Amino acid sequence: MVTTKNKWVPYLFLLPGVLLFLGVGVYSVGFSILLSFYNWSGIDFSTARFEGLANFRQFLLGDDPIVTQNFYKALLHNALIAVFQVVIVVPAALVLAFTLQNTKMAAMYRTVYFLPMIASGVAIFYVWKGLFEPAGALNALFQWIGLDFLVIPGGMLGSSSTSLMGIILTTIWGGLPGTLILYYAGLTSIDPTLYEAASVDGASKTTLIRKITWPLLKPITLIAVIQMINGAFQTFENVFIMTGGGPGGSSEVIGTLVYRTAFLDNDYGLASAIGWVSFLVTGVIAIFSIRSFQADI
Amino acid sequence: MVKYLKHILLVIYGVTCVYPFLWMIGTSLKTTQDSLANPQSPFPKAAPLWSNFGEVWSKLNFYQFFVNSVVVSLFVILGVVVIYTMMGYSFAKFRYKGKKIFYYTFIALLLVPGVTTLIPLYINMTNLGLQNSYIGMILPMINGAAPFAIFLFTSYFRTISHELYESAVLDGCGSFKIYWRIYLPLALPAIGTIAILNFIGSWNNILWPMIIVDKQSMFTLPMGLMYLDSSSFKKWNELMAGALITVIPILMAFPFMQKMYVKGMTVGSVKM
Amino acid sequence: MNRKAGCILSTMTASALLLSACSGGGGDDNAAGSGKELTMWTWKVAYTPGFEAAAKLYEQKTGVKVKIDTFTPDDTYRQKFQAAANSKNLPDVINWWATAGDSIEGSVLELSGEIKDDVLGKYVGTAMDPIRITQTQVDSWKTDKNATTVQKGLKVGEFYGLPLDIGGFFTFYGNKKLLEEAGLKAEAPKTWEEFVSMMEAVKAKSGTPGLVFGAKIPDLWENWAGSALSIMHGGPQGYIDLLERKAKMSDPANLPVVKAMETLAGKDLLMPGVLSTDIDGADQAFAAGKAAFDLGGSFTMSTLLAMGMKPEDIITFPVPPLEGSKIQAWTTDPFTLTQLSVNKDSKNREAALDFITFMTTDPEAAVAFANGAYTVPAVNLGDHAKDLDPNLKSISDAFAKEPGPYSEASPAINSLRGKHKEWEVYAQALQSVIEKKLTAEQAAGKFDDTMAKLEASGN
Repeated sequence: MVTTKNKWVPYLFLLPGVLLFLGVGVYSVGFSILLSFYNWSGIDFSTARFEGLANFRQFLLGDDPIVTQNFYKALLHNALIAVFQVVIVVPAALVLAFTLQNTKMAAMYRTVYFLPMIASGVAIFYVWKGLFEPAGALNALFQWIGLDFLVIPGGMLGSSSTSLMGIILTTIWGGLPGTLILYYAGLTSIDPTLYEAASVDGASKTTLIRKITWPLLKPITLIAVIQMINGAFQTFENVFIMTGGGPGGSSEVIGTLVYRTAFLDNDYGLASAIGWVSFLVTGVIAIFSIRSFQADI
Repeated sequence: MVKYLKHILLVIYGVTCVYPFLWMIGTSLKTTQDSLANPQSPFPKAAPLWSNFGEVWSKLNFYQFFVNSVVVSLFVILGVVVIYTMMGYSFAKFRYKGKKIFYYTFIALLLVPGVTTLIPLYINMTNLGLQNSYIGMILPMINGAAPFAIFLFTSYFRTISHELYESAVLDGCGSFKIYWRIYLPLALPAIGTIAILNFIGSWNNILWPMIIVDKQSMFTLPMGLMYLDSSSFKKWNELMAGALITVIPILMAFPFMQKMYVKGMTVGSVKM
Repeated sequence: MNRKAGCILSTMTASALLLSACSGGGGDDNAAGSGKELTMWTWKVAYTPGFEAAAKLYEQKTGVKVKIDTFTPDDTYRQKFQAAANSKNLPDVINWWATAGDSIEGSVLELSGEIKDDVLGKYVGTAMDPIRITQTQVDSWKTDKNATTVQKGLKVGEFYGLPLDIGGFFTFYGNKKLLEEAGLKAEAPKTWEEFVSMMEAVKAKSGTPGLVFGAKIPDLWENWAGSALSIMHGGPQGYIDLLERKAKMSDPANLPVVKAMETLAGKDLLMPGVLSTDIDGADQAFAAGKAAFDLGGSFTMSTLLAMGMKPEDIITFPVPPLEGSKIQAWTTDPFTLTQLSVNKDSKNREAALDFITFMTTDPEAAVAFANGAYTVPAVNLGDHAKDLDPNLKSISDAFAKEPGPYSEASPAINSLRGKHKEWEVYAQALQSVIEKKLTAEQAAGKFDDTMAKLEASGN
């Protein structure tokens, strides 16, 4: 790293990005933070009413028991999506990446595995909805292989005990390829001579993984985990299209709650307040994960 | 034995990746009645109905939508690459006051909930007189791509040997020339990764264009798809034909850029 | 070249910044003030041909062109409206849901001073009801601490739009073929109990489930069927008491209505997967013969026909009463579906007012619109009714001509059902009843408990 003769040079490189942010981002971020302290129907800010912390009290402290209940339930669902995704995607991606590593047709498999990443969002959720139907492919598959107890008569999305599971499945489907490719790329970038040298020195297989493979995969895992957590807390489109948050609120997430509050109940202030609290929650979790990986970015 | 197990595992996962696409293709070739009566089956009952594609293409001005999508995606990619490689270069190579604050502020923007800022953003853009314009669609998308692009470019530039910079200074190159002539070409894999991610992102983006654009002549492909979806009931066959038309450009571009994507991701994220 | 692009981009943002600092309003190119062209927005793709047909008539008459833009689906349209209203980019004329207090009032023209009784007298009896602001609404917004400033500023008798079309929910559609195969007469059942036994007969015969509806939307049942059952069972006043928190859901007067759903669920008469089915999906399933009955409204017929059903394959009837109901037959009281409003900052205000009056009251325009949009116009057509599409005409003929029990309860419904959140909880609880996870008693208990809790906390 260097210090330039002209101390303004590094700032000049930042200038276009900062200007763009000032022109496009600052206003909307600032305005929506401001909004969370107002009662506003969404049209003509002169009709907004300053209410201090009322919006936050409404959903955090139980001033409105229903909104409070909805909020914490939604937050829990977001957290569940995040946890399940991390717990399933990380090992699954690792296993698949290891398997893929020494396979002849890796390139072909890789191309196929990329597909979910590029799928046009909205269309693919409609496809999933079809697969989860009572007579859909998933139930048909379970019936066919004789796992009748896994067949859900009302369809996975039509039952309050499984709807969130359906959402989690689609999130995993969409999230696995990215992580898998990251791991695969990481594994193939390890110089094979490293392993050979270590083996010659008499290192055991676990030592190899611990000393050579893991240090390399650690930063990858961190990025993948943070992306998954952030994705989980911003979940919206798939829930909105597939279940609308139901049945009985069983798959409601912060995204659908904010959307409903803003655009259907016309309560923009409350919606903003909920949105920004979820921003803080996500931030805290992200910082916590970075700390626990003890990595310095 | 192990070898076969390996392939079985890989194939099973492959099938789950491909199946929804098979379903899309199959449904796009069904008759309307067939797609209503047998929505689950990925295979059309009668002979494939290729005319669905023609129908969809001519129903709306899909050619115009296609051109709009290309223009928007192209300029988003260009903007993201130019603006954020500069920032990444600055964060990676120089020591100066306030660097950390700038860096983390931009990274934190990743967590901003999109739905919350939609209306404020619209007010902002119309105050600038940018509704119904390409620029109005493009600028917020570039800004939205900032966190990850900055993160990846910064870590990528950090991996490039510092001696290179010093020898270039000795040769009398200015900071900008070093960035332009040396670092930018070296960052090609990371640029590829970011370009692909933003191509997919901007190509599929629907929420923002829908708000900022009124005129059908400015619609992008996914907006056209949405329009199809809203007719009196869902004609799945036409909808899926439209969806395929929308996805095909990405599908075609992908194999070419795939290698670069992987390389950029690896170096950028592994060697932080 | 890249360098240049960077330059252009940065100067662009810089100038953009300058602009944002000093610009008050926005570009107003939508409402170009030539007076020769009006712009109008709608969210209903199906209505667009109707609007275009009527606009053509208007152009012939006055020489003023009307340009129609459609934004869809519903949510996008709402966002679009909010966004445009904030930056004064609204079109001259706006098509909107006919609901007073839906927060568009700050942006559109108040019409009670502009439109007089000579015009208002041309609409069918109750058409203005959901549009005109009532005393109940004003009172309820005044005391509601969560009401918006816009809502709190509305006065009795004001109205912000003219009624465009009318329709009704509370209609069941039956698959004639399935009924006849089960040995039933394809006739409307007299009571709810008879209706249930018809479903059972079909199920016993062919295994086809009895009923499908868009249960993915939690409050659809209450909006489209449940409230009719309640109003018939306990009379309009009984339902109003429930809305006004003067009665309980678990009261013997109200519990049977919840039980009606429990029965459907208990006997497995609902289509599997009904809870992930939306309105569209329900109509599709019914058209594909996957259920014997479909719950809908007057607007459902056109969808079913578009899906390939024939009028002679279908029987329609209003929600049948529970046995022992105070009201023995439901009269489908039509209510206003959508309205036309004028942008209060429109530069073509007079022309826009003239156009919405023409659209909603001129019989020829109304017929042209109705036939193109497949919806019943809100204007009294008189002799022109014979020009309506035959299917449309039969729907329109089935509407009650006099205000019925629903109209009596509707002011309370409009102002209280959205505001009192126990209804939201109840709608979700009913979904659990459908899943057989709650009994009718438990769901009613949830409603009552929530009501008590909300009242105690001043909500």
